Amino acid sequence: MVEDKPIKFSGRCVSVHYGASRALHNVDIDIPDRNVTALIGPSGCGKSSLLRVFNRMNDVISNARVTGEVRMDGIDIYAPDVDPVLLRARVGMVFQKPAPFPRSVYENVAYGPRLHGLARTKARLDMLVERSLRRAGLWDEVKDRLSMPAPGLSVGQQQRLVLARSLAIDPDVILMDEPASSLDPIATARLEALIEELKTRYCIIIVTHSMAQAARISDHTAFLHKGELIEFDQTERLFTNPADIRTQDYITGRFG
Amino acid sequence: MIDPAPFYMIVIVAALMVGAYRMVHGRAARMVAEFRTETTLPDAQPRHHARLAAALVGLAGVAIYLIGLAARGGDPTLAEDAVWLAAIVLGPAAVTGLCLANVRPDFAARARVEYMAETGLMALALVALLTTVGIVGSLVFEASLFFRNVSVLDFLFGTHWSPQTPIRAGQAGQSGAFGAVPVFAGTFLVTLIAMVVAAPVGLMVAIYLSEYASSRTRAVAKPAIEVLAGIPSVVYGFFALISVGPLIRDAADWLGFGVSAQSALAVGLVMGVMIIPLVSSLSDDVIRAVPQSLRNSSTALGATRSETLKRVVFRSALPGIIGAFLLAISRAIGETMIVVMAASRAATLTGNPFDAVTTVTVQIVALLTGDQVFDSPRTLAAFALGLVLFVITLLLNIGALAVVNRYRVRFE
Repeated sequence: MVEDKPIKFSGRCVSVHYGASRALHNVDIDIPDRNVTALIGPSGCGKSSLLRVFNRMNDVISNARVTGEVRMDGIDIYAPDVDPVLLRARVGMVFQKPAPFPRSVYENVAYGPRLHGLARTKARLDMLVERSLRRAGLWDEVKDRLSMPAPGLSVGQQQRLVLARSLAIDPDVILMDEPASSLDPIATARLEALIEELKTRYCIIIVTHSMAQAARISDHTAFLHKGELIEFDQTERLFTNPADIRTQDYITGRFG
Repeated sequence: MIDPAPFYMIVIVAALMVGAYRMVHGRAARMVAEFRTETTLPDAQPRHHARLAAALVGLAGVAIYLIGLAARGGDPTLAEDAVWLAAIVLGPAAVTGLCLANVRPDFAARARVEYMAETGLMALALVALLTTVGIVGSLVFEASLFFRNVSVLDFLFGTHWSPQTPIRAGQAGQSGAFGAVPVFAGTFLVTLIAMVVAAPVGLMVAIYLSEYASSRTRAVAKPAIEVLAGIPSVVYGFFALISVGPLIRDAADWLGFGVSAQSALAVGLVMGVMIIPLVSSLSDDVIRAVPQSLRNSSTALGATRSETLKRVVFRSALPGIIGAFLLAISRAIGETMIVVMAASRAATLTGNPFDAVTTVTVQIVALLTGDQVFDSPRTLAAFALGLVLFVITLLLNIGALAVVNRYRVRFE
């Protein structure tokens, strides 16, 4: 693999178990910074489990167990002295279905900064909220109704709102778990354009069911199958010249 | 002596219903056999005809039965009963005949059964509604009789309550005073103490059960707490009367000041314990109704469990929790048995929880028990108190429902 960008995450022998069942098996992966990395594969292949390894959201699931080594900027994020709460402040996450808090648009975006004490003054908080909404491409649509309840926005707007909410605490990484699956084509196109913009600033890892989407927006693509990382390469190479027969079968639609 | 006639009449009606069902079913089935080629779904039709006939016969029979029962009087003669018997046989028989005559292929028995079911259910719903209207109506009526003697303002704003009125003219020391403020103040004091106990404890229990307890703990703890709700309130009253009240009095004695064994504190504490399960189980439901995705989103933003709980879960569940509190308050206000057993009957206007107070429900019981002239202001005062109590709990319940409904809409 030719890498011009520094490595953000490096995973070695990463396995995830839920109780007795194994969701991810001995994955070795190096994810470059300021780049879009797509995780593709059929349902149940472990791509969401792998995504949740990076911000330790698997910890929240009571019977989940993660083994192996995951380093972020060279630091083992599963070391006993690492606080997962602080890690999650640096690694934002956008879920499949947007879940805005039942409060105003402003309060939703201000949630993270308030939580982590990022803004001492109201003016600074206002600035953070505006900057995050601008980066998420939502500012122009909501600037006059920041006090309206967030659940009243359209689903596409909600998805950009929760994106703004994670941007507000200025993370290094944004994890996206099938962010476009509940969006219509127009909202999806907006989101993809946004991801294109955001990758200059953030390391983005996106789980997607749509191979076309992975091909459009990602720089690197990882293909997972039955809990194993089959192939990880630059997107162009993976889609045009896959090394593994299973990858080829999947991207040509022969299974999955 | 037991009069067997009404029982036999009911048996006769039931027998007639069965007879009508069989006869109509038989006739319809025979007719279906003739028309089998022309109808698409013939086999269910006889059943619908028969059901319709049985229901109509039942209605007619029960109506005649009830009319007969009402007209019969306390001392029935044999002739009257004979007429009754004749009516109860002939009426349904006529209905059966009508039904038999109507067994035709073009008669939509099924649609009529459907219509009858709908009408019947509506009638039952109406019974509940009319009962409520009747109760409120009688409360309003009796209260209006009371307000003919005592002005509304004196009742609502008077601060002296001593409802003993002279039975004979010129009887000494028995001037009625109907200022209800001390009575309501007592109710609110007891309710306040009860909520001070039940609101935080119930809420914490709910938070523990829904957010922290393992499913195994929950499976044991939740039913155990709900056992509290199953204890009859007379047992709580007993507990307040012989344990908690004297305990508080003795403790106060030991500290050097005198407290009544019927203190508002003792009553309120016990009542609070009684409504803990109400608060905890309602709050538990609303907290668990907060979508898991909100918790995950908050966690992913770097919030700890307690931060998520405080800032997202609690905020989202707040309307429902307020609704739970309001329901608990209206329960506490209307609670009777504990206060009748353990609270005072003398109305004192006080805000001191160590004093003995009385409550609205205690006064209603006191006013209506014993030998009373029913139209005296003393007795009628109970209806006025009941009316005000009803209005207060009604408003609280409406408020609670409104709050809870607004909450429900938010996650849809």
